[in-house]
Amino acid sequence: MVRAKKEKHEEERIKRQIDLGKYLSVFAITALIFILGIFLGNYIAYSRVGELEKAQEELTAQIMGLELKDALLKYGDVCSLTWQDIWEEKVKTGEKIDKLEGRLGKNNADVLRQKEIYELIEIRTFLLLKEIKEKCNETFEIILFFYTNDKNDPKGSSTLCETQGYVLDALYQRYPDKVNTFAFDINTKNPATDILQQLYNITKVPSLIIKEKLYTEYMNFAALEKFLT
Amino acid sequence: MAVETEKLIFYLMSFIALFISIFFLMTFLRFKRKEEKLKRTPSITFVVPAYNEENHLKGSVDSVMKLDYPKNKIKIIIVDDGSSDNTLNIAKALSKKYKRIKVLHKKNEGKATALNYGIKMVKTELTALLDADTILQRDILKKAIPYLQDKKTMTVMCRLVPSNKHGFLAKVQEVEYAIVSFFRKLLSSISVLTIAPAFSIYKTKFFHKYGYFDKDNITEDFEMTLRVQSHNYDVACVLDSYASTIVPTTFNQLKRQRVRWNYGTFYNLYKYKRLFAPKYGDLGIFVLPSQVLIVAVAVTVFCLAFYQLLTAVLRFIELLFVGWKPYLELNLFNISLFFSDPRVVFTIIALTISLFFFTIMRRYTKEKVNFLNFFVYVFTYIWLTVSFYVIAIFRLLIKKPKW
Repeated sequence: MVRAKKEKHEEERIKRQIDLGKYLSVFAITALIFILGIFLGNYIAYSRVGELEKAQEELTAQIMGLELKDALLKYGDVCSLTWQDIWEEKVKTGEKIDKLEGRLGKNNADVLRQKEIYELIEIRTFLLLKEIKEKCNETFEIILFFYTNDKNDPKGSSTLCETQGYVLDALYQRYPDKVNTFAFDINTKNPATDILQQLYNITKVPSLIIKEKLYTEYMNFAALEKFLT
Repeated sequence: MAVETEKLIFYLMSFIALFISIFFLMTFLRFKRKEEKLKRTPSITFVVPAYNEENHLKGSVDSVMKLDYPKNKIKIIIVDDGSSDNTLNIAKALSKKYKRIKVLHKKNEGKATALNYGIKMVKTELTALLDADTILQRDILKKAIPYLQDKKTMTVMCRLVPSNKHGFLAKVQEVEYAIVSFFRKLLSSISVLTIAPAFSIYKTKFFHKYGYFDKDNITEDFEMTLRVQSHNYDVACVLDSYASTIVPTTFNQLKRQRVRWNYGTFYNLYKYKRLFAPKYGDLGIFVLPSQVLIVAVAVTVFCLAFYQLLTAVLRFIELLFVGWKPYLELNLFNISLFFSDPRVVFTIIALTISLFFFTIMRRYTKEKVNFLNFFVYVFTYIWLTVSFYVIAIFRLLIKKPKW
């Protein structure tokens, strides 16, 4: 009788149960959406790497075209080359590299690979533009900028390098036809960029080469602007 | 903070938030709307604690007197909690107008004490607790009392809507109250609801058997529902009818209210930590832990976002000073990279789930809550409320607040 009464009393309360199946389903759906979310994000980001590769190929083709034209002319007039397109394309490609660095990380293998190719294209562009500037009395200025992304780099501060990069961007924003910067990460492992560093005796960052002269200190906007006027 | 650590924290927080959202989604998919019919009309006493409520008390009491329920089954006890304004005189005037109103007067000791003072005088089967600034819909008792016909249900609360709808804060709180009410209904559908603010009905026997309100508790209503759940009784929720209540319209009022609620929530969750156990089913292993987790996620994301925003703004200002000019080039490359960011992807997923719940809520409550206000709520107001969590945690750890 007492037991029956107790049972009746128990019936009047909530029977707490754990539906393990529900929790497992929730976990599985969450994990699925989570993985799909990351996969989708990365898929979009890596498809941009493909787009960048294509842009780099186009830029390479443009430069090669100019170089070959120059070679074929040989003793002809290098000043007849229409270099303005590669001037602008080079800047746009550099911006894409920056954006990818921001999204995938500065140490991402794909970003580093694209940056290495970009720096090689930069060297070819630099050599061509240097020749044009010298032979054709062009007034534009070419700046070589050596930097690091490594926060613990003994050669200099990555934050200061980043700021220097923004100052150079500002300079291009103000004088898009007068100046073009060629930026090189000193930690890019490539014989051509290594030689470039050796040629200009780069031992610390940020370093700038302006009018073939080495500057190893951070330079503000006003100081850089003086080279253009 | 290292970028990788930030990413890891973000992924972890996203996973927890997503898990909780999916749980509610699954709960909704299993949710069956039940219309309970009123089988009998038990007597009910409204206990209305009032402290300096001269502007609202009459409206609240009038709404009780107009309820669609047998008049001889309704009594009202107004407890003047040592008001310094005209509340007591208004209460006395109301008791002359309506014979079923009893007025009690005591020195000011806080809401819980005032409630207890009134509840001890209740002789009816049901006790309704009504804030003096809350107005009831005519059909609320006919919608609410049927839930108490279930022997397992000890308490029933209802949907709340703001009665003051002017101003930015009132408008976004309208969205908040609508969403919260819908989630409370979902929680009640799996017997894990632990809140009954502004207006609630209890079976009077519960107080006699399990005690009155904790007079030192600043969120006494939360504590009482935790007590109901701790004895394995249910707290039901009415969605079809509602009570309208005054909401804060200034930042300081809102901050004071929310910090008090949050502080009380933390305090009571700790007090009832024994409920965090498998024997309490979904309540013990999911709902209560997720209350803690939601706060942890919200506060972490808030602090992280604040840190990132502050760092970015400082850097931005620094760059402006070096001569750089911000520019935004909208091309496919930049746009697709923006949308490939996991933070953006998960924000879109979270927004989609929220929009789904918001749409469902609009359908269930027939509330014409503005979609624009919903977006304002999501992108601004939520962050404001999270900042109140931060203040409450700070006060909990450093000093006890005075209310």
